[in-house]
Amino acid sequence: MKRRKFVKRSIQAGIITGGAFTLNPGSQVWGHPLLPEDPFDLVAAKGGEPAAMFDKAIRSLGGMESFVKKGQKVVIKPNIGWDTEPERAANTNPHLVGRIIEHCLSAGAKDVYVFDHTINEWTRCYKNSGIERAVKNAGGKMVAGNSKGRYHEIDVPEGKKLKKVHVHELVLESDVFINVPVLKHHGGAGLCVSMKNLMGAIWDRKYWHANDLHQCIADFASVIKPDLNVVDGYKVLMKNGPRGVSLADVETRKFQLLSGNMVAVDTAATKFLAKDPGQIGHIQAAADMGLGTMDLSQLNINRIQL
Amino acid sequence: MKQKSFKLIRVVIALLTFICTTFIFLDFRELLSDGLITGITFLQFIPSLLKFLSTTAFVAMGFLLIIVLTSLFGRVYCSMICPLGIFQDLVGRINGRVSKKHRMRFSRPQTFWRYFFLILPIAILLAGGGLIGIYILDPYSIFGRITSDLGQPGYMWINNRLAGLMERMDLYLLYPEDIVLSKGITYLVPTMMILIVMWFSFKKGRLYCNTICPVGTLLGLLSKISLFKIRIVNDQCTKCGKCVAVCKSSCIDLRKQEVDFSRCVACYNCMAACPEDAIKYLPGKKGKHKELTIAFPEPGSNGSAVRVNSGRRSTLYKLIAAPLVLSGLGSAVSGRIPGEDPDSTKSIRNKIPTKIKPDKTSPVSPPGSLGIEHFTDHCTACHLCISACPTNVLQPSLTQYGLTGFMQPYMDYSTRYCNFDCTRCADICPAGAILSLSKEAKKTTQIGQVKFIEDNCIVKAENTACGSCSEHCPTQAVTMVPYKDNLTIPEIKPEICVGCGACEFACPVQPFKAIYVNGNREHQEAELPDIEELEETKMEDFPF
Repeated sequence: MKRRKFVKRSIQAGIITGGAFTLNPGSQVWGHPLLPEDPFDLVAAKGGEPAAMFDKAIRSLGGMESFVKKGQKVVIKPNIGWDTEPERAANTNPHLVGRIIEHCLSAGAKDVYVFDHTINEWTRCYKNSGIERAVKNAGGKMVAGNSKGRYHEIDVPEGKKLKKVHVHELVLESDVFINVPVLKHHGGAGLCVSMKNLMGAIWDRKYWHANDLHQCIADFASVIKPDLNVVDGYKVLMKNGPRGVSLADVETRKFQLLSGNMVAVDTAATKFLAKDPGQIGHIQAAADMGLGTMDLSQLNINRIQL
Repeated sequence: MKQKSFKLIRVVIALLTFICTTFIFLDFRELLSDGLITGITFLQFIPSLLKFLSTTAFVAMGFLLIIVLTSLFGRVYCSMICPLGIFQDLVGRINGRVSKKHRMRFSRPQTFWRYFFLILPIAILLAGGGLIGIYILDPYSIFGRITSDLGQPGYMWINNRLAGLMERMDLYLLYPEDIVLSKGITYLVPTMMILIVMWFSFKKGRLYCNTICPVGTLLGLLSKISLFKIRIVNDQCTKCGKCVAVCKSSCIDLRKQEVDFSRCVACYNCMAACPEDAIKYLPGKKGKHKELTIAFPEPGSNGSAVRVNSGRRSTLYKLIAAPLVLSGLGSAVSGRIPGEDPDSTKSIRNKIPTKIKPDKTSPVSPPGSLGIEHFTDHCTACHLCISACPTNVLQPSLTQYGLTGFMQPYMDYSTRYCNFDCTRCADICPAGAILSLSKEAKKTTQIGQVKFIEDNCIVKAENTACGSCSEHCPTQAVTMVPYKDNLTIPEIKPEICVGCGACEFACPVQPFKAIYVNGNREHQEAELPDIEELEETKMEDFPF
């Protein structure tokens, strides 16, 4: 990552997590943002459709304008790992991805790119997840994540196990990075939320699996920090994750979490599944590295019931 | 209709079939539907014949149509349907451009070699050597291997260059695709064949089709009794020799004013060239060819010196087998062992290299192929499935099926795995080696069974979390169960495994995998995974 970019990222992250919203963009399209005296560290919405929950949640964070400036290049990384239909909830909800793109474009983004380094054959994943169509309808650009040449090596200075990693160039080059995981059960990593979702932004996943998966996930979170994480908890794969076997594995839970901090948002997501975040190795490891807090009582949380 | 225009019709049809047939072997984006591909390959003689033998379905009757057409008009297959024949015409045409002087002359038929190459593959088949003799010489399959193995990587390379250029202009219309190269030795056969075919067509017109190609010889026998034949009208012919100069088959004997119709590939160049309209289709003379029957020639028939005794047969078999043995040695020398990760020559990801070698007793044949026996008995190794496979898990085999299955595709889980919801190969196989099956049927077709080597597993060996195999498993025949220190370790349920190879592909340890698929010699039906209803989570308020 370029230094300029890294500094910019850190500042952006600061704005979202702790800093004051000095910018008051306001948007006529999505309604006037309701700025609290203390900006929220985390927004949890519940009980609505994915797009409606996002509309309300992003508004309470000052609208997409507080993340995306005019002319900026945005990259969105949903989970498109599997060749399964949207109802199976192995991939991020396509309506949510589409709505985020619309918000970005209306905030003045020059281009919105969407990609994933899929696990199943990528053309089928893009198509059958419904995400390709949603992205094109919303005016975004679908980019292939399948060729090694698009991944460039960066250092992980704070990494304990992961010292170098190949990251997709879109993540490195874009001005704004939005991480949109779907919350689901995960046989290997316990749960798949925002930090785990970033494994789809790198090339050699097998290296992570062979070298302390949880620590590698946490190490990577120290170097790539999304400007915004949107956790899709509308339909949740409760077992047999991360792919699921049938619709019987899926429960409709209708919630959504937004935050600039991955440790916080992953902790909150874990609690929605009534699990102990301390038992999810990479969340604990990232908290130990000082990448965020697992103590949600310290955070300013906005709870929205639709 | 003037018969002079036949050539134009032939050229148009030939170009159409050639472009379509080439494209199905180049395409890697599934641009054509399964039905369209089946239509394009419908008339290919050998695959259609083999498909008919296993399905007797209407979709496999293309070869019957060819037999009918041939017994009416001669070898129209060779000029309008056979992609290798049309390819030779294109090469010959390039030669025509390069040297204006190039003229064809009449030559005597290569009777011995024609029947030798017709009988040899049949002899190999009868001697229990399988289809190898037939598919190595089947012109459609030769063309398929050339286009799939040599052409498709080039086509993808061009696509990737274009995609790169367009991406720089911020256009995302084409996408790059990783080129998966097969093992070096499998390129040898198509390379050799393209060189041989090009040399023949460059120098000798269609001599290849009239000497080596067994389909050409077979259809040639049939065309001896065709209802209509191309003949010279004696009293109109001025013996100007223009027809001879353009005859790719060198089959017009002007001195006797005769056309050797068994060698004529029905290209109609002669008709277009004749200024007197003196060479054309005429009804066959009654009774003249009464003694001929449509059957495989017995050794020694037609007065030729072909005699295949068992001693010579085994010698021939050895001749064919020798290079294959060498190629097998080649793979042994390169050190590749089944179940070994191909990347492991570069560096090993895991700290402690794995020690136990997977015990693979059988290769894995694609879903729909019923089992190794049906598959190897019908596959002509045209490599259409290899071209079309979206994950590239199908790769040409070396010795996986034994020497007699050389080049027939197998499921190579070291680099890729089979996509659970995909039936592409089964939907397009022209030879009925992979029989069409529904998506639902495919999901319970067990082509192999999962095996787990716990001592190789990184969870046990290095006390670290992984779960990559279970993550990839579509049926959860591999699940993660509690181990120790909050870790989970794979547990297998082979009865619900479909053998897709995702676990083997995903397993990160090197050099030997901790989990792998052993092929089922006969495909089995996998049990359906247990489906338990979820307990509804009660959560009225926010949990924090």
